[in-house]
Amino acid sequence: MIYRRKLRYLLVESSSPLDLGSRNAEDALARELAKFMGELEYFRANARVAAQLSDKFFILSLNRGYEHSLTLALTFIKRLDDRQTGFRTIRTSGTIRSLKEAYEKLAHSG
Amino acid sequence: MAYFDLVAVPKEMAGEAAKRLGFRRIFCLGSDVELLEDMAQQPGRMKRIVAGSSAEALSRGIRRSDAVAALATERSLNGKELELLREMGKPLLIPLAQVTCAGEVERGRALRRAKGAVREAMMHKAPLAIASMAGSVDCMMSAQQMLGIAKLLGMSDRVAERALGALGEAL
Repeated sequence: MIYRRKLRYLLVESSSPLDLGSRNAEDALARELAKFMGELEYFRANARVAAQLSDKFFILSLNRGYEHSLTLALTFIKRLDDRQTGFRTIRTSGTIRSLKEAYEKLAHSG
Repeated sequence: MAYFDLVAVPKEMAGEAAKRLGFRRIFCLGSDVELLEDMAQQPGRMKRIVAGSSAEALSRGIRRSDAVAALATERSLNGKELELLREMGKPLLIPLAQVTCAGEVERGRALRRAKGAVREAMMHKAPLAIASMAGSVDCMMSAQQMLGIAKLLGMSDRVAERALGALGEAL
């Protein structure tokens, strides 16, 4: 039997430029998410940065069923690593590809 | 279903973000609608959202012809005001940025206050509207996020969707 992980992907926009490739920024985001979701819920959701599309857009991967609590947690985060910022969830999907296509459409429509 | 938001940021910023965030349109305070605290002011051409510091002032404000909604502030509305809103068909506007952008200490209080306002309005069958009323770009939210916060405050799926579209009907 093939074990397949059931993941969901979230396209997120931040209000200020972020570099989530750096360890510090990713840890800061993890800390803030754990603060609002609770450590156990954050562990179950297993949220990770899957891709950074630009300095303001990125894709988070998470386990299925935790989209609602992760979206709420992102809404409440207003500060990351001593920098004022806000997060807006644009779209949820089962594949990274469809979110990248959605991002390309947004980028071209200006 | 079409969703609408109301913000206090520059109109150009709101306009270009509307489609991306899942809204048909984002209204701006000051250019599309005004906040009215002094009920003695004469009715003007612009539509107004009333925010009264006392029950008497708010009741007077709700009856104005240019008033489209009443803002839920620190003072909780009593049954008479909510029934008046129901009779006039004007919604109680819950500002969500006051909850999401509150500091650590005030957040709990803001959540309880907003939840209480929603519960009282639903008990008195007064119409509800939700908007971010974001004062800065950091506090703006997508439609998906606002629906999540509305459900956190006690609204059902249907009530939350109707509340997010209510501003469009009013304005």
